[in-house]
Amino acid sequence: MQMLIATRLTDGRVVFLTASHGWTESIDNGVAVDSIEAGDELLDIAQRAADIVDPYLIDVIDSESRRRPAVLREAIRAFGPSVPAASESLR
Amino acid sequence: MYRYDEFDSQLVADRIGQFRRQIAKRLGGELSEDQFKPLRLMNGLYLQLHAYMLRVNVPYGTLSSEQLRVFARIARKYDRGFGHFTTRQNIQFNWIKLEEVADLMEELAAVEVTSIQSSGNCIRNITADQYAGRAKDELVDPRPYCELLRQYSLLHPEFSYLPRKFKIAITGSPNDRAAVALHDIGMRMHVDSNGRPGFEVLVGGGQGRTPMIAQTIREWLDPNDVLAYVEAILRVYNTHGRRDNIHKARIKIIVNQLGIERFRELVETEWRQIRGGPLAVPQAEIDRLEAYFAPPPYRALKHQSLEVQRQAGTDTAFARWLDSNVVEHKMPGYAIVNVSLKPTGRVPGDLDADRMEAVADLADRFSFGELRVTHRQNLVLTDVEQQNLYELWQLLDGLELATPNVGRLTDIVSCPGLDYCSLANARSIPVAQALSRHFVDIDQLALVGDLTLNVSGCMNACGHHHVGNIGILGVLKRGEEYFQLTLGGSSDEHTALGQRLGPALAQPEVPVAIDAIVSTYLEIRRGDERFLETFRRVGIEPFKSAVYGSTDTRAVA
Repeated sequence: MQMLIATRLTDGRVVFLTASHGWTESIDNGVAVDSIEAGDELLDIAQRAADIVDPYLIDVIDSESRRRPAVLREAIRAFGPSVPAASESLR
Repeated sequence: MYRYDEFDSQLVADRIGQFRRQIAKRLGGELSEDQFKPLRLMNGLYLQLHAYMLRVNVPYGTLSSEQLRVFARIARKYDRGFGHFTTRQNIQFNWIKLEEVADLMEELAAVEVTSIQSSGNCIRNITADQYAGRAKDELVDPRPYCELLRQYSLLHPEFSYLPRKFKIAITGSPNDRAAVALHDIGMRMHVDSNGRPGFEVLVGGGQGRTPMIAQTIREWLDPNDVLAYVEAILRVYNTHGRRDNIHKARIKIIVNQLGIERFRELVETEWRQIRGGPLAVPQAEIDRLEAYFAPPPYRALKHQSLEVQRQAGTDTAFARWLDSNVVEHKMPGYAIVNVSLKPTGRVPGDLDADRMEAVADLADRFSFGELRVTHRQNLVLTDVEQQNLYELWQLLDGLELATPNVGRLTDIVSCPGLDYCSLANARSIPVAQALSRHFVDIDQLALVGDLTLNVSGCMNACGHHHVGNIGILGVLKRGEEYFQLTLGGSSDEHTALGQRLGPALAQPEVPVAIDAIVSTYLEIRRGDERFLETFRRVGIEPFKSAVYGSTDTRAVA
């Protein structure tokens, strides 16, 4: 399955395209498709959007626990850094 | 401290106004990302994995307590409560919003700090020995010349579109703490037989995917010629540097391809045409800049108070900290104190806003309000009375900023890696954390002694892995993170690039491998030989056997 991931222009946050062609920060609320044609359609929608930067398709896997990107880089983008921030870890 | 003149203030204010308008055009759809990207990069604004990242210049690593407090405020107001000190003596904020960044820049400008030229193909922050003006071994204070170059290079129209980024570092001490041989231009200051200062100029150093050590292009340069000579180098680079291939665009490639002799001929020819012209630096200008860096009002003190000796004799933890984190000061009765940003298991170089403010308070109380950022991602309190060291140590210890590990194995330099950086292939921070937790025995650290360990998450080498005594480079193989080790690197006056030890290792195997390397060193070292000296004596083989031969460490191709 594939999802459309992008960067929100105003604050640089990672977002996913939703079924209603909006944007969500949660991978669970984004739309996932399983055909090349449907993926191309997502990409086409995203490339016309003015409020995001650098859209591209990523492979995702639905496991029993939750949906996750297939590769590490995109998992880090989806779920945040794997290390706590200094402001969290030092408290 | 450096200070802005009326030109700086106006330039910076105008530039922020210009960038604010550019941001408005981007948000309003008048500028595309392709059009906007070079504009934001010229202002130090990157787009990373999770958000915009702003890199803020700390000119030659000098920082006032007031500026550090503003960093703390920015960390709270615009970021997630922390900042990351970098290997070029700067600070980065990781969670910045485009719509807020112009306001943030105005807050920085109010304390004479900018992010201009912290990115892009231009002259970046000039870096220097973090102990400049304070070190006992220093011949000449490099800061006035750093400031001269800062003013010269700020928004210089001829050098705003270089083939690639351009980094300059200066040291005024024979013991190089500024890694000058790893810069596009490195300068070592010397003193002649008449006591006059001058520069040895090196060119063509750099790290990244093609690491090279800079070569001496000129043995001696008078201070009044420094701008003209730097300009001559920049002009030759601007003319001959490759713009067709980003991986071959740094000056090191040109110096290597032409050879240092030919490159020198080109530079000297250019220099002869401009020498003595408007770029000649009159002594009055050097005097004016030196006045910026007038020493603080030191008290007349005796060297090494008896109280310090007594406390060190009875408190071994304090004695260890003195041994590793405190450096001799040129003024009797004073000391230079390193504030370790490498407590066990934490992110190297990261500091939260509360601690920034606490350190700023300590700088005011103990160090005339002055700090430095080191290229090994620590902070420095420049001027601490020796008799106050024990109290300062207790206060730093309470903040978890007195780990006695500066220059030791767990004083790990690390880039942000794949946890933050869009260029990275692998996560460097978790490796650094795992090593920090593995080597927690302070006695063991003291036994091992001076040993630098550097981690980079990709071959761009922001963690300076090529020049760590032990270097670790993250790579991606078949979608998995692996780490390649190098040994024997050094960034001091005997700069050397590390040699590859063998096949890359999986992340859990890295601490085991480093343990094997350290144990081997302790077994075979002679007397008080440092790790690097042992490595240079015996070569890489004993360490290779220790990691790949006699352990069950699994290696991959």
